[in-house]
Amino acid sequence: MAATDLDPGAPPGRTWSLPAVALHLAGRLGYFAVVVLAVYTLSFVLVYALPSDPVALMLDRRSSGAGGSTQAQIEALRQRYGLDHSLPARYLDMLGQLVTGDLGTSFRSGTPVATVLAAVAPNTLALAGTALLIALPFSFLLALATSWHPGSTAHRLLVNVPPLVAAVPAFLLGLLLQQLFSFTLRWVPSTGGSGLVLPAIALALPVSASLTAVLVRSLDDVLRSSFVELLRARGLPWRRVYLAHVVRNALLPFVTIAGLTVGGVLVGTVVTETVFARAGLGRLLVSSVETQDAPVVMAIAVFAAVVFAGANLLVDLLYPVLDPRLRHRIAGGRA
Amino acid sequence: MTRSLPVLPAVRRNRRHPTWVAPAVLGLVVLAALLPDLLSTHDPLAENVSRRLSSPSAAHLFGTDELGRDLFSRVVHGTRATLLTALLALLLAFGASVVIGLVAGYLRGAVDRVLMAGVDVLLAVPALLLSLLIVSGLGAGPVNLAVAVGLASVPAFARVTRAEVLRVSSQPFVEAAAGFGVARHRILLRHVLPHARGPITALAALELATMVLSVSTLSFLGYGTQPPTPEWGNLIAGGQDYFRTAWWLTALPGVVLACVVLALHRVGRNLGASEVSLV
Repeated sequence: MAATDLDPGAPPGRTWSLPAVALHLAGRLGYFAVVVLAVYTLSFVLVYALPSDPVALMLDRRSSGAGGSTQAQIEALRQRYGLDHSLPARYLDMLGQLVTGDLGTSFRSGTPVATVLAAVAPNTLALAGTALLIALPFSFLLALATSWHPGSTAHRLLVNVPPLVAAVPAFLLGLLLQQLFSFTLRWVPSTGGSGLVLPAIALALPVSASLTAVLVRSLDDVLRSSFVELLRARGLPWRRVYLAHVVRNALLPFVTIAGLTVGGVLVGTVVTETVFARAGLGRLLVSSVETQDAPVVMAIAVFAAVVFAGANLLVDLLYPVLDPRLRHRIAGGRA
Repeated sequence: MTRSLPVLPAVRRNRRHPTWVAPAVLGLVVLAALLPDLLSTHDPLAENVSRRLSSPSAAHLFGTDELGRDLFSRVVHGTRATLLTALLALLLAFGASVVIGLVAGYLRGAVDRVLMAGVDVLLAVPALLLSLLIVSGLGAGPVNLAVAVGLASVPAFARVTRAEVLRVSSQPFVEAAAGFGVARHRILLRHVLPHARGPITALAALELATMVLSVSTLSFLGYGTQPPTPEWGNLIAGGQDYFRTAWWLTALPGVVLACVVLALHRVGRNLGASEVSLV
């Protein structure tokens, strides 16, 4: 890590003490668990504790035109879905089932939620993954290009691009891309799973906007610090100052936001899948919210929570690798 | 706390941009929301099948939709629904987070730690997911939508409010007031809050932009104002079925929406907020 040797505040390397690292790991894992549990609790409260009656809704839907249902049938359904228990009991029951991998049964289709999710999850993960693969390098390079020469015309022009893109709602971006590339230029088919690139770009653009904005800002902040001046005074070529020192020091906020982006991209599929009429978790969530299919809504929420809390966990574990100062602090040194 | 929000740094004002454009756009929008009949050229609900799906022209500035309704008038009349929902959401978020921020930032200690731990956990959850969960509990409709969008942005908002309160609370005049024996709640309301107001107001303008986007997104998904009452999100959703042939049905309301969001951003920045918002 010769790159940071010249920077102030970078302490000499220190050996890792095992208990300190274990403690750090346990803390981050605990945070992960708390986030997932919070999403579970929140969705449970919102989906079940509110006065709407899922069985009544379900019967409404199933028996429209076929006559009513008897009280016994209603009771049987309540029992089948565990709705006859009290709320706290259901909360704990469902949590226990969730931990063992049982996601429950969909109110709407009567099939296990796990089956319903497994059918569409690969679609969504492919879309979100592709979008991330586009967004991360794209915003990284765009930010690097923007801040290369602070105060230049290019800087002034490029710095306005992220807010401009962020102002366009994601669904409109999707529609416009589809209009341009599917209908006007006819480069890609308009619907169906065949075209992954266009939806992925539509999903990646708004995310890239905030990523770029964050990195540009932290690059600009680092550029103003005195060690940059020192390095330049020592006669280091600008390319080296910028790439080896400035970028490296500006990377932490970018990585933080990149972690948050995983959640943004995953949830963004709600809009993208609707616009591009793709089957996936996002569209399933939209339709399940509409029909108040509580088990499906909850399962998707918890799944999303595991993914984005997992991404944040990964980022947290990455910090000490990227920043020697943090490594020092975790190892038990003076902060 | 490894993940705190980027909090209001010093702002460089860009003097190159004319400063009247954004307020002018917002003025028009407010006018459209308050007195839509003044701006609209047609009845937003009047159908005219003989002129259906006609492209923008002098008679119909934004063209007409699948039922021959004038799109420009529908956009103008839709302003109120979008803006009111977003404002209601802002009011909710603002109220809740100012209370949380004030309490946490002033009492500090255990209260602060507990509140901020909760906020941090919620911050990790994408706002759209929170909104969707709330909508799934409350059901669709503009008021429920406002609640959903408003509550979903409380965590981010509360963090900034708290940081602001902390900054003000550490200043000598607050200490002086405490030294004179002024009651805590009085210090909070008379000394801390007024000084924290500026950055919070600027943030509110930026948040309103985010909320206009969120409201129209959720309306686009079908959870907000229901057609035939026009609202920007549902207008664009309605145009989606025809956009292969009638591009104006989605593009023009979309451009209006984007302009308003940009104008709100610009105003927020001129008031001194940072331009970075979270995903």
